[in-house]
Amino acid sequence: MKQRILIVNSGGDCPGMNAVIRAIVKRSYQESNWEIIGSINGFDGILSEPLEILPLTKKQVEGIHIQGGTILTTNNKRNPFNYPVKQADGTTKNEDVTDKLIYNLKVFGFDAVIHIGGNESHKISLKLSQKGVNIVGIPKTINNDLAITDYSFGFQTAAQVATEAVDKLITTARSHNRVLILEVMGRDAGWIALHAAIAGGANVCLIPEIPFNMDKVVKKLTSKYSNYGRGYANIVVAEGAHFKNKEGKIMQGSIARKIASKLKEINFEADVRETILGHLQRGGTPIAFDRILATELGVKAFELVKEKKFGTMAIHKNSELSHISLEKVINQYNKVNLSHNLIHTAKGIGISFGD
Amino acid sequence: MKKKALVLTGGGDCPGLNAVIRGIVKRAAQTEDWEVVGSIQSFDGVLREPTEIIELSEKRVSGIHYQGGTILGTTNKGGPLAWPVKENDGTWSYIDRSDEMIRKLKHLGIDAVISIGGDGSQRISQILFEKGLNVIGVPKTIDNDLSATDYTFGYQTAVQIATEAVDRLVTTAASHNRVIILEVMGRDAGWIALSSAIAGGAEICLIPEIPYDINNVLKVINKRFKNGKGHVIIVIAEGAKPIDGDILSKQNDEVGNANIRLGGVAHKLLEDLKAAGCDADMRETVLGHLQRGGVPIAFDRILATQFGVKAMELALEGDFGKMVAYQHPSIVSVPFIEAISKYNIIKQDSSLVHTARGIGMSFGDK
Repeated sequence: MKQRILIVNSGGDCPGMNAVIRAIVKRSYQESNWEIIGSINGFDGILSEPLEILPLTKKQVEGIHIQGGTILTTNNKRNPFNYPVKQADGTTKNEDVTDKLIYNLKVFGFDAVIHIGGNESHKISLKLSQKGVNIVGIPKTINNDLAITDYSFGFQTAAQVATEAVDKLITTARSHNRVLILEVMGRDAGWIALHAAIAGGANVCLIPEIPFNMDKVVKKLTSKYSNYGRGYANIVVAEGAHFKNKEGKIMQGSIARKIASKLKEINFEADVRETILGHLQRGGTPIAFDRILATELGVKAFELVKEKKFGTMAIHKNSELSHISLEKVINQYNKVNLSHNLIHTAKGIGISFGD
Repeated sequence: MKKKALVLTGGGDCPGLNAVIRGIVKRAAQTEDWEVVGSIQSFDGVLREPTEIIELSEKRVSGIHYQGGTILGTTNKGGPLAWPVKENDGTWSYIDRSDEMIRKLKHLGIDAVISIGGDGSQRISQILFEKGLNVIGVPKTIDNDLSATDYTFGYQTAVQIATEAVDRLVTTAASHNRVIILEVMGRDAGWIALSSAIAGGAEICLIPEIPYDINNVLKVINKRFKNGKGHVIIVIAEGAKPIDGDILSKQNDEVGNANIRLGGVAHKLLEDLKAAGCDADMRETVLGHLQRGGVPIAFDRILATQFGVKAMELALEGDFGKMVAYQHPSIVSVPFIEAISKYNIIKQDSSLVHTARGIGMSFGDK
């Protein structure tokens, strides 16, 4: 009988997920005895009745590495330890359904699970592993905020998309003598903002790791304008950036507007406009870098299953592929360290962090 | 009087050169006492009479980081150590003008030279450094073939361009049931070929590090075709060679250019496959200088900016005779001698080769 691997992807989508899926399948075809099956919509597929699963043949995955998103669809609200279950009275209640999950895996003959996901997903993987599930993780975060891997796929594509947005905003800012604010993803880590600001050439970069002072931001902006109001400036702000003098909790997704209204409040003389990049950062074709990385991780994850190295995660460290125990993965966040060379470089070319 | 740093770009151009120049100038602008000038066409701007040296103000470099090429111009011919001189009989001879140039730089009040270039440029820099010139190097190679640095700028852009070429060739090959051969850059190292083959999804990848057997290539093609239906994409590096053959090169007739000119391997492969009995329709595409032109991707702009800032800081610290390098996640400096001593070629046991084989790609070696 063939050995079966179930692929589950969970959390937000990110460019490169399909390349991972394709690589796992293509790698399995180098062996004689494996079957790869995908669970639709995170853990939903393996938990639903009847099962919603997709046999992943070589034909099925042909050419998908170029496509963004995931052919399996994904969900970031489905934790099997706290899973919404419809009750008899029509309401939903969250329950631990992991016993059912493990039962289904056994009954339907799954020998192992490959789980593609972010920080929260790996916590689930670890707990499932402790309950005896043969599981291997693949890191997925658009924010580059996992410390155990040098790079995660999707991030470079997001940085590229954000950079191209800065490119465009610079020419319109210059034409209208405006201040343009671009808000990018990054709740706890400002990697996308920092990369886009350096690569695109913004004047101000605001990230969660460095609380900013509005007066300092205004000073920098003012320096970009002549006495006659000629000039322009570009700000890249991570959605999780916040003011230094915490005036209440800043809501996610509103920081660009908040900065714009602050500038209006103090009668900053130039026009200010804001752009919120949103899900453009997650969509579309992955750049070559991410496709390669995703393919490497997919191949590695299959091999970890084949070698029965369960409870681990495939990673890219020091230019080589390796693996790490899931226990060591949890809560290892990769935030922008203030001594990081990128901060040094940004300051070196005169970018202000508002600090 | 302000101190002066002179910047120059040498060797083949590559996306990100302007971002390095901008990084240097913007970093210098953070100081009170440094200004930056640029020499046109590598050292030629210094050696020519009158000199061709331009001022590089912050304003001059504004926005150049997303332009490909180099605002300073470049050349991969001649240089201070082998300056071409036309003899009376029409032939060319080469003279060493390095001592004269070092004197001239002193006379011009240059306190530091930042040379952005490939391994040839770094070798020249080492000799000039030994002769007493305050020189700093910034590595530049589109082929990613320097071992002292994890990546060189321009390389990821070239990979992206080659990958997009594969993307396009896949759909046309599939529509016509063809074999399409894509020739990409890579003299001694097949990084661009291997990376774009993985990212684009080619079936066969031929690189200088792994000599191929034409019969193995044919075997893979035949396996992919059934009743005349099927398609195959082959990515081949210009320096790839068959097991029993040598690399394909042309005599270079440009004055002062010591590099041999590669090219034509795609066509040669096509002919060889035909001769070996391949009956599928075949086409070739030579990507050429599209790989060097255009806007650098974000990755390369960032790396280039980091290099520029670091190079200027070495000048500020008076730390000469070194080349900047990227060793993840840090930007460091390494002595020239160390930097030019080792090529970065693809190792057979590297994870990229392993990954490629893992998804069923053939290198034509077995």
